[in-house]
Amino acid sequence: MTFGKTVSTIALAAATLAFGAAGAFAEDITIGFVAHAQGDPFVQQIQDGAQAAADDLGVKLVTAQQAGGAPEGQLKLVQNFANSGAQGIATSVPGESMARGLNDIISSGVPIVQFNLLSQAVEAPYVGEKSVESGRILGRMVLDKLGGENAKGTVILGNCFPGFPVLENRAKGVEESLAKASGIKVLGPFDVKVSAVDNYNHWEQLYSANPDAVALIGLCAPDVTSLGKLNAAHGDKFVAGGYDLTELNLKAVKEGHAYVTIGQSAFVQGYLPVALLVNAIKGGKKIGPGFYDAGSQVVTADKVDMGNGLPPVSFDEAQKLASDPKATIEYYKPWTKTLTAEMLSAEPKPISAESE
Amino acid sequence: MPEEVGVIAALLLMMLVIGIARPRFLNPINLFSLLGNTTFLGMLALGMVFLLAIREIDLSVGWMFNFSAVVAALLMVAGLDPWLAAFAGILFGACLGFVNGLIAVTLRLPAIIVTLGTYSMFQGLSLVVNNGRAIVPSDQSSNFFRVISYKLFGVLPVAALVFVLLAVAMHILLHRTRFGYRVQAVGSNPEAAAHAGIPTARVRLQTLVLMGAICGLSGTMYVGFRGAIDPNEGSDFVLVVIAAVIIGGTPLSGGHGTIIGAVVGMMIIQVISSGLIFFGIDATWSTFVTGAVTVLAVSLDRLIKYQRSRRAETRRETHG
Repeated sequence: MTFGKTVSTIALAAATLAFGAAGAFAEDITIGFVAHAQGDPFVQQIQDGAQAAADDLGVKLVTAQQAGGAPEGQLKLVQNFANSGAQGIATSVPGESMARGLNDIISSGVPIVQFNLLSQAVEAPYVGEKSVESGRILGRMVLDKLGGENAKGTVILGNCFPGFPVLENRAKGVEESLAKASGIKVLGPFDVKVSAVDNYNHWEQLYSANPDAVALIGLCAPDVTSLGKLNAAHGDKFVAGGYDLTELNLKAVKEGHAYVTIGQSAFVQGYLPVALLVNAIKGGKKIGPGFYDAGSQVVTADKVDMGNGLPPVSFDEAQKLASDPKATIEYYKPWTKTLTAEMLSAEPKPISAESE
Repeated sequence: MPEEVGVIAALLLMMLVIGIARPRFLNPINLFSLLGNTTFLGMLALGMVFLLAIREIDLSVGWMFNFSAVVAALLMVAGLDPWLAAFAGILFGACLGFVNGLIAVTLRLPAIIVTLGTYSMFQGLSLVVNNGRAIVPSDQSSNFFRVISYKLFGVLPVAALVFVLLAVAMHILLHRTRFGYRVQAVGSNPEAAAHAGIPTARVRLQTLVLMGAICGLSGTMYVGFRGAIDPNEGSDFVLVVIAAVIIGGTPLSGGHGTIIGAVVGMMIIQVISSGLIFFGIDATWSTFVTGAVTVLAVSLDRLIKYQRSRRAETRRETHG
């Protein structure tokens, strides 16, 4: 092939790529959806919720993700959406350094909704769990399992992203609950990393260094799976607890290697931001800061509480919901029907309610 | 024709293709926004050119950036004048680079091995110092914050202008000064450079200190621009920085480097990221497309270089 032909081929390939995607912005409203931790099953559940909202409301949703959780990379994706003409953007906010850039975008007239990770300096609503309270629930569940206020022993706490306010708040809540037992000594929070392999390795090292620990508690999605494997390998000697209703986490609970996992309503965290944005765009309303509680879910092998007033489900049904987006959409129908324009336009709680 | 013509052509071609399909992409506001997005990592890429030219790689750049920014921000929180705190941050970055250089030179270890360790050391110390939380200087009334985040004519960030000026200075430093020639000589053939009387250890040390100082500058400017530094910021910088330098045409084999290429390489990375969003390509496909377009861009550059060398050979044969 001659040089000229090669260059033409590359140009043609690039043009094909470009025009092949030309139909992507067919709908009138385009919402940009930016998330952290690409490949994380919990974040994927959030995106499934966002897509369900876009389908229900007849808008185009375009997602962008970064592999980790660095604020600068995330902000660039949001800026690219704003510059590309997206009418609204939902984003997790993994750092305070995003605040100024996000507020500039909001000032330019593009509405933003935060989900899952927030900065209180951003002048936009936040959809997520009550982070300190969910930590309190987790700590209380583990403490009850250990024997309540008379419990004794070492509890290890792990955080996959030290410095994320939501995770720090969860740690605070867990420690608050555990402090009720004077015989409990809490070690950590230790950095246990977010990738599945790193996460397991870090927990394994922590347990090797503290083989007498009575409970190991994680604050992120991969922890329950890692702790379940670790517990299985050591004869189920400790109480394992953590967050999120991923397929593997639920499997660990069902098999008895992990005791409890706290869900933070991933579907709601994806669905509600898109619904809020579409309502604001269609109604020409400005949306200000505030807190929308996505609700906490509590799952043990014996009890499944899905929160948000949703009908009770069996453990097997909860497992099916974790792995089947279509089943999840059906299950959440009673909740999505409550999202009327009136409800979406109502004044939210102050954003400080998130960490109460 | 300059050697960077290939990557420049690849960049322009990409911008043209995206611009034709999505005219909004060529809006000056978007283009200046892209330049602004290039600034902080782009600065690190400028320093990395010197390192690759001397056959070294510094893996700790992201955490030198972070640690310097954290120190500068903490000094601001403590009440030090932000300009002085920024200067201290740059000096601190240079000190971190000095630590890397001192270990590498004293133990005669490649910088990549040393910085494999200091990567975690600097990250860990930064986390200890910032307590795992974002540092947000509460008083941002100083003109340090106003100047760094100011946009000339409403679109061109001052930080981006500093990046361009730094690129010009680094280009001159690499190609027009004794230090630059020495860096390339050591990278080309360290033994020959030593025989020629070049103090190779000192040049390596100076290059690593320079890298640290640039990380300090980028980090402190980041604090001024964004008004905060998060504990995990910088964690994903190193691969992007090295990729930009290599896309720009600086070889891993050392002995040569191109500052213009590194700037263009970083722009290519930003344009790809932006283009994916303008085309509405979903997150699940974007990682593949990013890689594929990068390969296309590098292929175009290499094809142009190959064609030029073929022409030069043909000319030599004709005249010979």
